[in-house]
Amino acid sequence: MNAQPKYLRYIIGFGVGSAAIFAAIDIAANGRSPDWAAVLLFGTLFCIAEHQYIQLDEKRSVSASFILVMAAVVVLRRDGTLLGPLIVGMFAGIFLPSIKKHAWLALFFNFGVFGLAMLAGAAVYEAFPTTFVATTPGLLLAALVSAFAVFALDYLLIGAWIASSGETGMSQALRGIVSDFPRVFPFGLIGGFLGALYLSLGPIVLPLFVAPVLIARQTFSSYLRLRQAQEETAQVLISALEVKDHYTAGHVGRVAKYAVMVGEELKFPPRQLERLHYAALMHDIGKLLVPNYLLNKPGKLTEEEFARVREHEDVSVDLLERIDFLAPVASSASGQFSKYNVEDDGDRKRPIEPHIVHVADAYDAMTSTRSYRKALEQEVAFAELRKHAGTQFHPQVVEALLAALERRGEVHGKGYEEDIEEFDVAPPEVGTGSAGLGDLAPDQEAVAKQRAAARPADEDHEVVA
Amino acid sequence: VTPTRRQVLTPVVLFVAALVWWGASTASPWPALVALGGGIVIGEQLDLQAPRRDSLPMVHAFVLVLIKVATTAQFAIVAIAAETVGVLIRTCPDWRQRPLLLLERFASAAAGYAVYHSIVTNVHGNAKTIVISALAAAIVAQLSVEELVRFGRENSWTFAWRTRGAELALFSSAMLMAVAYNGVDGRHGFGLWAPGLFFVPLFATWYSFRQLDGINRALEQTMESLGVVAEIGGWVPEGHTERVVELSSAVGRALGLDRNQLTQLETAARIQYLGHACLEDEGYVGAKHNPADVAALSADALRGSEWLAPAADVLTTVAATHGAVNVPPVDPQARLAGQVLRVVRDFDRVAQGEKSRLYLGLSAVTSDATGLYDPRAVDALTRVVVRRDFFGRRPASAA
Repeated sequence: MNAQPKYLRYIIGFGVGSAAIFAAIDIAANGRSPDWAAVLLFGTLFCIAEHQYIQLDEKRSVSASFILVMAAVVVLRRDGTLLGPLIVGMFAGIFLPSIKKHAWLALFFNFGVFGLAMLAGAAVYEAFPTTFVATTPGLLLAALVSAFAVFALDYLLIGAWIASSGETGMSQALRGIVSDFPRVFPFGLIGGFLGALYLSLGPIVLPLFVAPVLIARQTFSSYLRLRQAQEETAQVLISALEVKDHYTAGHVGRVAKYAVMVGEELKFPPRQLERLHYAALMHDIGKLLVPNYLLNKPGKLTEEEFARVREHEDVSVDLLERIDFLAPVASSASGQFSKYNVEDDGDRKRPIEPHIVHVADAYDAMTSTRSYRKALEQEVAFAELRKHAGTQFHPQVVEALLAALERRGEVHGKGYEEDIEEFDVAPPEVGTGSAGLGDLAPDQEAVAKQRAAARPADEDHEVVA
Repeated sequence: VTPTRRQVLTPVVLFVAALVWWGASTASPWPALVALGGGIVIGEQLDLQAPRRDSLPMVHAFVLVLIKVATTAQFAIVAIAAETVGVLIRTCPDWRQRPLLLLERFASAAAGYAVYHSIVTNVHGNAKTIVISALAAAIVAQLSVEELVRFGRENSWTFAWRTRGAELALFSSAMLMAVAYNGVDGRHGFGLWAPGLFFVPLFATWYSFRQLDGINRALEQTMESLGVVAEIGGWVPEGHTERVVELSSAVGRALGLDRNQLTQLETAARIQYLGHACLEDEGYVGAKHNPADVAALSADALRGSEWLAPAADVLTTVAATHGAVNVPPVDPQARLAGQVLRVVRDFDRVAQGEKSRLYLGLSAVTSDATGLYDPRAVDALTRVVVRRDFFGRRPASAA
């Protein structure tokens, strides 16, 4: 996006805020006085609702404010003046975080946006005849059209404000009106009904409406706190693993990151992404039971040692199966079970998550320096993943990971490692085959030699993480 | 068709069919009543599951609407039919529970109906006040029957406002749904739109409870998994961790620790042996792990988390009781919780969860003359395991 001149933002901010104030003065001079008690009540509730939103994720938040907006539009119509809705809207501009940050221009702008949007909604609602809005279909239609007016003006003005910073264009705001209104219009209808109920029953309807909303909000906040606790509990595991095997510091976190990148590439819904994230974070939990000297052994492992190290996968699967929401993808912790088998392709009952963790794990193993081998270059890791796609790795997952990395422009591996660990014995530079825990000695070495004699060098080794 | 799909599809199809019927013929009350019946079936499938509470079905909200709009005969027909369908298709661990559940629902609905109509018939005055009061009394009557049945089943009853969020949400949404259906006078309302739209806040509550319940369970199970690591690794006997968690919690409660402190004590009890995993293999180094190191490393693993840092303080106290030096200062409550944990785990190492070894375990902690154990913790442990017959109450498999 192109940077816009700074004065443009001032023009929009002052223009919108001033327009609301001039409109208020004009209406007050020529109209009747609204029911100030109702204005104060709805204004306060609107302002509180604006502060009591729930942040669902980085982009989305919900609050009850739209319902209250429409309720106020319906209730204040009886006063025969648009001053009430305008002032109720202005209340929402009193946003404490903006005051704390001394963001006066943003505050003045918000003050104007909410006021004008409410004014537009009230004007549209007022255009419908009283007898029409007295019927249920009439009320629904009027509330719907009025809600659209509030929503569209709000989006347009905020879109202009954001566009003035050069972050996005106005076209995005216009697209947002079309795509987001279907999500909020039921709240507009509820607000319309709430307003009509207020008119017949009085303010008692407000606590009846607010109670479940507040409980839902409080419960959802507890949920978000516990989700953070769950994340931190997974971090406990990572901390313990890193104390035990500090040479693989960051491995689990990186695997989780790559796995989520693949999940996003495959358009996983949020719930599935969350499960994938935790499965990846916890896939090495069984390593807690692997003796440290084996995890950090610089040389090759004996068969017995290798078998002991491999036992951790069964333990990991067992432990993940104890957690209900991870149980369906518990095999993510097993290299054997998550290995791709073309015969299983298309089996809907087999989740793809274990394959994702498997690929992410192998990619990180290849692009990180371990005690037994230095990090490989990204191109080598890509080639290795592609080579084994369809045999060892799920081809769709491999392509998704590569596409995600390329799209983000991320480069990992030799020359791009962060926090490289200092080893007592410098790790050797070895071929692509020893990407994981290290080759077995000595029998596996003999097998490898036989293979090498039969095929070109560095092919057909299994990538083990 | 999976059970879940059946639970969703059946009531939705019923509801939509009734709505269509209602749209086609508004003269008869039956299409709307059948749609409300569909709502009852839907509500029966959705339980508000507040933390540490029995589930509360949302069916009561739709029943309240039916109570307000239907005649006695209509109410009886729709409630019986809809409740029967709802209970038949709902998730139930045991088929034998369904008849009892059905009776519970009938009793609850009948109580609500009787209370509402006795008030609106016998009390005179402001119509608005009477109708709103009657609706409030009716939903309270419905919920009271639920509560009575629960009391009969569990033989215990507790009440705390902060745990009654589900009831409050159900109460207020049901009132709105009912009063908005046909207004105070029974004529001026929004019809089926009212329960449809005012159900949304209740549904949001249901969703948030469901999310909370799911993450709560995931968190507990993750903790349990981390706790089991020490048993799989052979550092502690099988079942030791779970017994210590349960007994520590009981002792902590006896000492007056609050809910938050108990949670931290339970977390510390689960994670206390994780430090074993961070130390070098005992067979490899040829020496047993030092318990102070184990507790300190376990505490270190927890320390990075804001949520779990108080549990780290509990483990720091345990490390100190094992002679760890340079331990950071902790607050008195965490120190007491740490003392509880130390006493309970040493007790369990001897008692091993067996009633016959109870006094051996107790003598191990009461006969200490070095002042290692906090007398308050020892006293509370004795009270819990002897006077309250802790092992006697535990299921045979656990004890």
